[in-house]
Amino acid sequence: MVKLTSISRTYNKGTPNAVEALKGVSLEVNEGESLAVMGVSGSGKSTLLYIIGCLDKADEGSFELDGEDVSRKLSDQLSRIRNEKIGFVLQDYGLIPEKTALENIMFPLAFSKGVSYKEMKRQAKKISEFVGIAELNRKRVSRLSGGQQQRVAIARAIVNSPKLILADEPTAALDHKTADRIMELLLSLVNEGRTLIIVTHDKRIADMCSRTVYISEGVITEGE
Amino acid sequence: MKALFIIRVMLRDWMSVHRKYTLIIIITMMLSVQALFFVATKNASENIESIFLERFCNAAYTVKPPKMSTDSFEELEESERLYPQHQIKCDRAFLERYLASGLPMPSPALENPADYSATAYLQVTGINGKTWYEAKGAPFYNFGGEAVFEGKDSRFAEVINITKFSYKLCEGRDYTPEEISSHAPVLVVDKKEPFSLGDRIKVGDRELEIIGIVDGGDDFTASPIPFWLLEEGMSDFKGIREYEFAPDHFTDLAGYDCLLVLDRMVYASPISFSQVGTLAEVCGTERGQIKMPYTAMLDEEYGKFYKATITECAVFGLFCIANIILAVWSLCIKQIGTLRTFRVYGASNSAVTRLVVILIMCITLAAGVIGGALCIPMQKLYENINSNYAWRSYCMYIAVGALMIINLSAAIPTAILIVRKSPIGKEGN
Repeated sequence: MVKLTSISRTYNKGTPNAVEALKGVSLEVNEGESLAVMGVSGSGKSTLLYIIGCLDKADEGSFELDGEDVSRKLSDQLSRIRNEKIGFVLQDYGLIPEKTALENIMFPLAFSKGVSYKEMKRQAKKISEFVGIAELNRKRVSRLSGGQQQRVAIARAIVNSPKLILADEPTAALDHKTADRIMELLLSLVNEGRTLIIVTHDKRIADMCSRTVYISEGVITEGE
Repeated sequence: MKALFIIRVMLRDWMSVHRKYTLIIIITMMLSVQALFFVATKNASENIESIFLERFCNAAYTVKPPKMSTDSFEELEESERLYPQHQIKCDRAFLERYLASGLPMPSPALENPADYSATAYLQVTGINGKTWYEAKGAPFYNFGGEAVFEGKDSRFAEVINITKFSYKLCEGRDYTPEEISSHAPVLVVDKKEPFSLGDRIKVGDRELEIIGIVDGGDDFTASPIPFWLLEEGMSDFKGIREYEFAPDHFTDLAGYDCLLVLDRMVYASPISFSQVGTLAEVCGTERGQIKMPYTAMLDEEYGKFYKATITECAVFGLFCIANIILAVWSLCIKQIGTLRTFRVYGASNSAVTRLVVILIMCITLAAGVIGGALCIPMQKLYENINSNYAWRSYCMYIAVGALMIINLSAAIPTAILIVRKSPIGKEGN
């Protein structure tokens, strides 16, 4: 599903403040696999996640996503790939607090071609039922608990039926009980054949995944 | 529907996070639109140099304004007494009201006859289409007492209606009021006419004695002839088939009719809207009946008005740009998270740019519309003053339109800036 070959990424390249975030990283993630990426702050794990999520581009190396070389795609093409193949679960949820849960779930579909508003609504309702938050559909996100908000964020991530789900510290702000429920939900998606990549600090969460890699100073130093 | 959904999401998000900024932006936009409107209209109003009060008829009167002083009352009243058939009325009450109002004297120093060229006339139609006419605002023309009617037949003196003769008398004497009121068979003629003092001539079927010779000017002959002779004597005069005169005009010429004198007043310097209101009160009429010839202002002052409007648009445009910067700044620091989420879920750079532009436009447009709407009551007031003033009501639309254009031109580059500064690629680890 994901194949990174010798990926390097340097911020502020050519300046005295240059930071080498990734140094020749190679990584392969198969379809239906759950991978935990662990590392300390500043190790390069978020950069790795952004490159896999087509939000950032590597300076060197190649990147194949679902058998397609995306390392040389244009910005708009990458937007399309993000919309169709990738679902993000952001650390801060990235929800729009004044809108309802249903509207938050709907909006990735707004950028999909050929999906009507009616279809958006239908699809969002279906997904909210799937993640168990149907009763929250009409509630404003700002009035939901952390766990409920994360479920909304997961529902939004999968509303486009993406093959790859990227989660950046999805349980960082949650208590253990809620974190476990969220992980159960994410892993149930893996059981459906999706691929999951989680960035986490939590060893307990990483252990729930089928595979774990460690990243330190831009290099994957330990895996599996 | 989808686009609406996205805009709705974004607007709601923005409004919820930036209530304070939204309020400030809307208020400043409203104020700028209003200020622009008021300044533009004030600028326009200050160019009013004449007003037109339509009170009695639709005839296009332009008369030389009277010398407004109580000294003229007696003269007017004398005309009223002497010529009851001409419906002369000395509205002393009106004149007193006017003088007491503190309004400026109408055109105290009008030198250009074109400014008050009379359209009042007496028309006498001769045989074979030969036309006798007319009383124009020639230098001798004076509503204070005289009117001149020019004729072309040398056998007949030019007609002058006179209540108080002001031409230079060369020989003999002037009419006395008794001679005029009793239709005495006497006549005063211009020195260029082929008559001498004491001659007896026939006008129509009446024989008259020449009692005075006047100098009516170098360019044409002008003899003062009483109205009664004009009416009673000329109708039978050989060579005249018919004559007619418009009573209103005639009345004006006869002595100047105070009721009609305000048909048009021309002021040497602009008068204000409040003075227009005072004038309406003096005239005992509605303010809305006073016409202000805006068209003339446009002709003469359009360049000035145009430049002023452009300057004002530019000034308040800067105001708007400041608003946009404020909006963008708040957008950058607070809402960038939403934009990031949009991008994460597949919104392209161009889509985000469009969204930001639309968002800013929505906010500023809303503010502009509210500001414009608040101008409507004032606009209505101006419209009541004069339908011609409707042109000036476009100031508001110009204001809103200009602000919107300026907003748009400022919103696009700022939106592009936001996208370029998007934190997606900068968040790093």
